[in-house]
Parts: sequence; C-alpha cells; structure tokens
Amino acid sequence: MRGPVAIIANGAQKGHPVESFQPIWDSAAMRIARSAWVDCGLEVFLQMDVPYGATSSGRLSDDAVQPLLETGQKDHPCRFLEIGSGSGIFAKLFLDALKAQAPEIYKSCTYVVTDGSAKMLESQAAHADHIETMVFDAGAPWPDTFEATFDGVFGSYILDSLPIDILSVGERGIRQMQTRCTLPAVNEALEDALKIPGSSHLAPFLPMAKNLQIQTRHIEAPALPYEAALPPPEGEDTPLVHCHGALACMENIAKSLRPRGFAMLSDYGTLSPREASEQIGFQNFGASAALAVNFHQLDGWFSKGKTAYLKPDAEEGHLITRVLYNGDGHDLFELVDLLFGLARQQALRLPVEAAREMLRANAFETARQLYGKAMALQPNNWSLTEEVAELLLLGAKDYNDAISLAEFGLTLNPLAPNLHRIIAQARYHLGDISGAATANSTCLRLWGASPQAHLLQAQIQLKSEDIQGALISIAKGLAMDKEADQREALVQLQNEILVEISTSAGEELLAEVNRTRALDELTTRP
Amino acid sequence: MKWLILIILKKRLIKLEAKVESFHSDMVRVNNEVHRHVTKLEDRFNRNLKDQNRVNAQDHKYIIGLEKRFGKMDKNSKKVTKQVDPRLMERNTMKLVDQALKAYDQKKGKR
Repeated sequence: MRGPVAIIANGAQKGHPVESFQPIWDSAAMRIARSAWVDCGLEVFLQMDVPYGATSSGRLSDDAVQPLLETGQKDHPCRFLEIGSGSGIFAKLFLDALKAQAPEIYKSCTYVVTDGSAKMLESQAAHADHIETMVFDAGAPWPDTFEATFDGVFGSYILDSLPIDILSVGERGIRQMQTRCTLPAVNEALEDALKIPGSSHLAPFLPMAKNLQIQTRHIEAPALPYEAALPPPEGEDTPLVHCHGALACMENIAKSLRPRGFAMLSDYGTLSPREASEQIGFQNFGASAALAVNFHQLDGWFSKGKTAYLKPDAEEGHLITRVLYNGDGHDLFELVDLLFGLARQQALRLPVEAAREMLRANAFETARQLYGKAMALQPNNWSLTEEVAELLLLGAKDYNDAISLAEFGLTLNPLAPNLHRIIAQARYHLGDISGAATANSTCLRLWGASPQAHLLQAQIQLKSEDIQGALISIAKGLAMDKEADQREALVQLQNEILVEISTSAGEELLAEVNRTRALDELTTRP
Repeated sequence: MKWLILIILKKRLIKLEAKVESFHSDMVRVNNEVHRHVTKLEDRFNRNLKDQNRVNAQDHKYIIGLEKRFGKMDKNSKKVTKQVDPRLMERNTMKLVDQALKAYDQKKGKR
C-alpha cells in the first residue's frame, strides 16, 4: 500500500508525456520557446513582448561609447560586434552616439549586427555604410576569424538565452534537474517533431506552448561543462543555475577582443546564491523563455581569468552589467563603477519611479518636474521620451508639446509604434484628422495588433464619417485586446456608433412614413 | 400643715428624681445606641469610602492610561495626516530624488 506522501504526489503525474526526461535545456518547453526567435522578426519587440526598452533605450548605447573613449586613441578602423541584435535599436543609437562623440572613430568603423531583419536594417539606414550583417549563434563554437578582431562586443539579454543546466547542489552531491513535458491530451505530431533534433522546426507548436506542464526529477549529474565553476557539494540541497553557455560565450568574447578592446554585457539575474527553498522558474517574454543569469557564478569564474572582468562595487539587481577588458582593468574600473554602479542606477531609477507615483496621484505638474530631471540624465532615451510624451498627451493635455517630444523620440527610434500613436492621438485632439490618420497608419504598420491604435483609427474614421470602417476597426481592436485594457473604450465607442445608426435610421423611417402633411385646416379661407 | 406639704413635695421630688433618673438612663442608653449606630455607620461609610477610593484610583489609573493612549494616537494621527498630506509626500519624494541625483553627481565629480 502506498504511503500518504506518494498518494499526494501521484496527482503530479497527470497528463500525457510528449517526451522522455531531458535536461531542462533540451526539454520541449525550452526547445519550442527557442523556435519563437526563428522568423519572429521585430514584432516581439514592437509589441513589447520582449522588454527591449530596458537595454535598447539609448542609455546603454551611450554608455557603450564611454569605455571606447576612455581607452584612448585607435590607430586602426574599429570593429564592433553585437550578439543577438534583436530590435537593432541598440546598434543605431550606439552609432548615433559614436558619430556625435567620436566622429573620427565612427568614420572608419564597422558594426556587425547578427540576426538582422529588413525592418531592423531600415531603422539603421542612416548608418548603412557602417553596418555588416551576419547570422551567428553565440551558443555554438565561434569562428576562428573572430579571434582578436573586435574593439567592442555588446550583448543585451543574450546571456540568459544560452545553454544552462538547473542543478541541486548539497550534501547528497550534484544532481541535475531533468524535465518532461506533458499535455492534457495525446499529441503525436508534437511527439514526432520532438524526436527530430533542433528547434526551428518546432515553431508551429508555439500556440500550445502555454499548455505544456513540466514534470521534474533530479538525478546524479552526468559530466557537465565547466564543472570547476560549481560550488562544493555541501550543506542543504540548494538549486543552482549553471550558466555554462554564458561562461563559454564570455570566454569566446574575451578571445575575440583586440588589445584594449572591451565587451559590455547586460542582463537580468541573481547576484547571490539561491536559497535552499527557492524554486527556479522561467521568465516568459511572449513565446520565448529565459532564465535569470547566475552572475554570482560568472563573477567567481572570471575574477580569476586572464581578461580583466569589471563589475561595480555596489549595484541594484534590476539590470546588471559586466565589462570584459583586454587590458589593465584599473584603466576602466572607475568608469564601470560610475556607469553601472548603485549611485547611477538609483539616480536613473528614482526620478522615473517617483514621477509614475505622482501620476497615479494625478499630480501631473510634479510628475512633469520629475520627468524633467530624469530626461536631463538621459536625453537620448526614446523609451523615456515615449513615457513623458504620453504624460503630456493624456495628463497635461499639452498636445503640441506631446507631438514635439514624440517626434524627437522618433529621431532616436524610428520604429517605436507608440510614438507614432501619440502623435496621431495629439493631432486628433488638435483637429488635424488627416495628420492623425497618417501617423496612426504608420503605428498600425509597425504594430498591427495595437488595440489603442485600432481605437484611435475608429475615432478617426468616425470623424471622417466612415461608419463601416470604424466598426471594423473596433472589431479588430476587440479581437486583439487580449489584456482587455481598451475593451471598455472600444465597446463604448461601438455603442455610440450603433445608437447613432439606429437614431438616424429611425429619423429616416419616420420621415418616409410621414412625408405628406395636410395643411388645409391652417389655410386661411377667403 | 407645712410639714405635710413638705412631705408631699418631697415625695413628688423623689418621684420626679426617679423619673429624671429614668429619663436620663433612657437618654444615655439611646445616646449610646445612637453613638454605636453612628460609629457603625461611620465604619461602614469609611469602608465604602475606602473601597470607592480604591475603585476610583483604579479608574483613574485606567483613565490616565487611556488618555495617554489617546494622546499618542492623536499625535500619531497628526503625523500620519502629515505623512499623507500630498504636499508633504511630494516634498519628501523630491528630497529623495534630489539626494540620489546629488550622490551620483558627487561620484561623477570625483572622477
């Protein structure tokens, strides 16, 4: 007879397994999530499924120029590599900043973007002569041609997407977490697809990724890459993310640096070991999945390496940046501590957070003041520009200022759909209906699934008396408003239109029925 | 005749004396009883007074405690009112932000 613990645990076996137990990196959930990056284009960024505003806002791009200036004159054309270029905005803003601050370096430099799409290149058109594109997998062995080739290597939100293992480390030894995904019903097509190695062919199964349940078990760990980077097996069993992919990638980066070359890597992650009771979970960005980088492990490993590994003395955990430098670390430490340390992180974060707090309390003018302070610190941050323009539009109703600021934001990031929408909305309020229609159509071209843009489109169409078009736009908005943020406004507008239709139809019917009017009784008789 | 009158008068006097004696002893008894009763009442009153004082002292202590608590609450509520005062909140927020900006400026200045 089974004991009560086994009876309780029995329920966890529910579902139909689509695979046998695998290390987490090879599990169906992770492989399907990886397939999301194939053919995803820019949509995941434009729809903010992936929060690229944190790393591609312009702040890190500006920061990336500073070590270059700090490390002195370059006697050769510089080459830069960006791993996982994503939206391409980081590259565009880096080259903007470089052109402004070091035109002599900019003139002869080459910036290699990986995974470039046509839309991404469109955003970098101003720097077309300096851009090279290539398809490159940072997790695979690096080509020999990369050795000592780059003056700068940049990677944002890339370390969290490289191969990992989840381990349990304690007195019982080092045990590897293995996972097996299940579905509520049998799915032979997925089971067959999972038997084929690779991830890209799994994209058709993305819609069912959310239904996958993950069963876990721990087994004695087989030989793992970078075992020397693991802590000794002692004490209570504690979960650990073993970032061997990130370790390998960073070693490759270190090799790819020219003398006085540097790499700047930013990601989210943990700075101290996990607690024994902690459970490690994925971060889902749209359909993709990632795991918090174990910076504690990276810091320990690279502090003993040949290449200088720089980290600030104190920092907040929101976005962590590390710098590798092929030279004397003392040259750059102060700069790294200033750019990525606690004092600056707080100076950047607090005014914005306080402004948002003030907005919630309807204190628009204090919010304006705080946003002013925030923008003074990072004038080239288009993401912040978007936030402030929204305040000017909705809170302060300074429509002309909202347009000016959004237009400025578009010079930084021409692909930000919300900036186009803000311009459209402000023009609509100012009565410039055709101008609003133009800006809103650009927004919809970039982000066709924006419910806010569909609401505005319906309002514009209503002003132009395109009733049918307005109703179709509302229907599209409702269909795409998965978070139900705009549902109330869309339904309200729909009701107004329907009432208008039935009122005018009623008037027409009444007019038709009562067309003849006898005025005999009122006619004066001679 | 005079003698007879004297005798009668003496008899009456004796009777009166006896009456007075009796009145006096009655008076003394009554007085004693009254005194005892009054003393008893006094004792009871004193006991009641003592009890009442004890109760009063406890109530007093309790009331003083309550007063202190109310006073504290009043003080705290004034503090809370101050804290939730949007103007003060704004001032504090701005102060925090300015401190953070100043700390960063100082760090930058040191380079």
